[in-house]
Amino acid sequence: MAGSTPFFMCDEKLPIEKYAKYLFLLPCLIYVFALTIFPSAYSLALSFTSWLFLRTEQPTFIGIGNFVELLGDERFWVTLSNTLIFVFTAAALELIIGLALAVLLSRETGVHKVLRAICLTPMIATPVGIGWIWRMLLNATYGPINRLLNLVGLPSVAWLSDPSTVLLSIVVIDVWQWTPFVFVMLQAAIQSLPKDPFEAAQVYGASKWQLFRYLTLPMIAPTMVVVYLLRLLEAFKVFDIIFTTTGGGPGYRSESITMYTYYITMKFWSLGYASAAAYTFYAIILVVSILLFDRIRRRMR
Amino acid sequence: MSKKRKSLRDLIGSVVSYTLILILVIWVLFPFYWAAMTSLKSPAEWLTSTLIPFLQFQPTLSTWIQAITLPEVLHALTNNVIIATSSATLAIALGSPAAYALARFRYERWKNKDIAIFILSQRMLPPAVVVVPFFLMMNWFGLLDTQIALILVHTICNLPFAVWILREFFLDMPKEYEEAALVDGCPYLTLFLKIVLPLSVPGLIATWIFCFIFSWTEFLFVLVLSYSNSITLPWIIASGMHTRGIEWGLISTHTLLAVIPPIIMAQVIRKYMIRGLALGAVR
Repeated sequence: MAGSTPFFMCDEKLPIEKYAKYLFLLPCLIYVFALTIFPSAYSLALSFTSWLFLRTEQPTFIGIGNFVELLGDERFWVTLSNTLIFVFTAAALELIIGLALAVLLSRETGVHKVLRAICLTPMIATPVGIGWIWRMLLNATYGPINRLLNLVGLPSVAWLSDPSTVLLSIVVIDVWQWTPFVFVMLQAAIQSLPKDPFEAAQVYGASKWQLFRYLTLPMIAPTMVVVYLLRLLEAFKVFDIIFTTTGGGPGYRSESITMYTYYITMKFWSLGYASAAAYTFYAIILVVSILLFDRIRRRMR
Repeated sequence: MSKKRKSLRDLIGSVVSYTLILILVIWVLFPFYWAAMTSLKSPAEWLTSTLIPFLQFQPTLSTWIQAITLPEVLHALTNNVIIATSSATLAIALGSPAAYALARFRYERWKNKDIAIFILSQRMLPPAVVVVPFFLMMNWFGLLDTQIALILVHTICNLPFAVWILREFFLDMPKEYEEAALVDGCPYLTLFLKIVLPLSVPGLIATWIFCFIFSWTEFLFVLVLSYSNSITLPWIIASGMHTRGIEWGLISTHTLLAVIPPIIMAQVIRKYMIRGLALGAVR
């Protein structure tokens, strides 16, 4: 694939022209180095130190002390399990609902363009604002969702203050926000499939289910994997929505890892410990990142 | 007979799909509708589940007027515009030469693919990892609570993305003009500024809007790096106007105020938007 794209030749040029290809790339790489590679390396170094900002002048090296403390910190484990439950439930629901919608709505309809435009809105809306809106919708006494439940004879649920439903509520918000994305992506994938295999299969009397199971599904599987991994990776960073819906509560039953590190940083000012927590979290999601980038690399031009 | 049955089937099929579309649209838009209605209610009615204006409640614009005349909201809006515009422009300025280089030159030691993947992978770094170092860096340089700090940080969030989308865009561009110019001995910089950039205006605008929207809605770094001078609309929204209890109407108004510009801008670049969100994954 890469071989089909001829590149420019750089010889027979002014001396500076020889370096043009590096000079074009350099500003970007310097910026990336200064604001990502350096900070993350610095943070890694900090994770082996103890530093109470504003109270102690300098970080002191304590080896793996932070990591040991982290493993014994109940709050870390709760936030980690919260994050994992949230991420895998939300991504799975988004994939299933998104796929169902994409298959059922795979035919081009008159309102298609409008539908896509509408589907874009939740994912570009300011997440902190979305958190507030959903806090109104899920309000135990006045919220329309409980009103709807009452209407069909079900009791009200204290969505955001009951420890047993709070994570589910956050999942619902994420599903609301990102299912349209999965739907739009998978629909595009289905519409770009070649028509011939489907026509051939129909001639031989294949049922709709068979068409889906043995043609559509295997052909869009690679896209599904990428979309799924992308959703996992983005969902791991969840912060804004939880911040305005529950603030991590009740207790820390809906706190995500990112919130946990935020609180350690900005409330306890324990910078070394916060870095250690962030890096432990990073190590966990690195697996997902590597899987995703492997897929992207293979499909790259 | 079979023809009739087929057309009946088609009819059922389209009834089903239009019903689904309707449910989907209501599901997606209802929260926005709810916020809009709350913003039009008087404070006493903020926490009531009335739905239809005029019939169930008397709409009023008083919350809107109150919301946009608050000096801190205007201040935050100005910050939003300044920060989003500058960081999007900076991301394009740094990203477009790199994207062009990755699309047109061939690198030997590290292959083009590796460099592109390396740049994109920086976007995947969880923000939690860089919160502490960013805070310390801005503290050292005395940039805490300044717009510059947020511009720099939002640019680094957007840069990998900008390089990635623009690279795709340059790859799709025909090379004839550039080759002709090179034969005439045109230097690369002139070639890039005078020929490539003017030809790629649509891609540049799309990418710019993408970066703008990200910066406009970003919250975590705004929260960590600012407390009064450089606060943005998401900061205001999150703070919740707690002085007299939660002021739902004001929050709804601010949320809509923050949500409307990205939605309008996104419609302009809908086609690129989806591709961009997918990081080119569909191709």
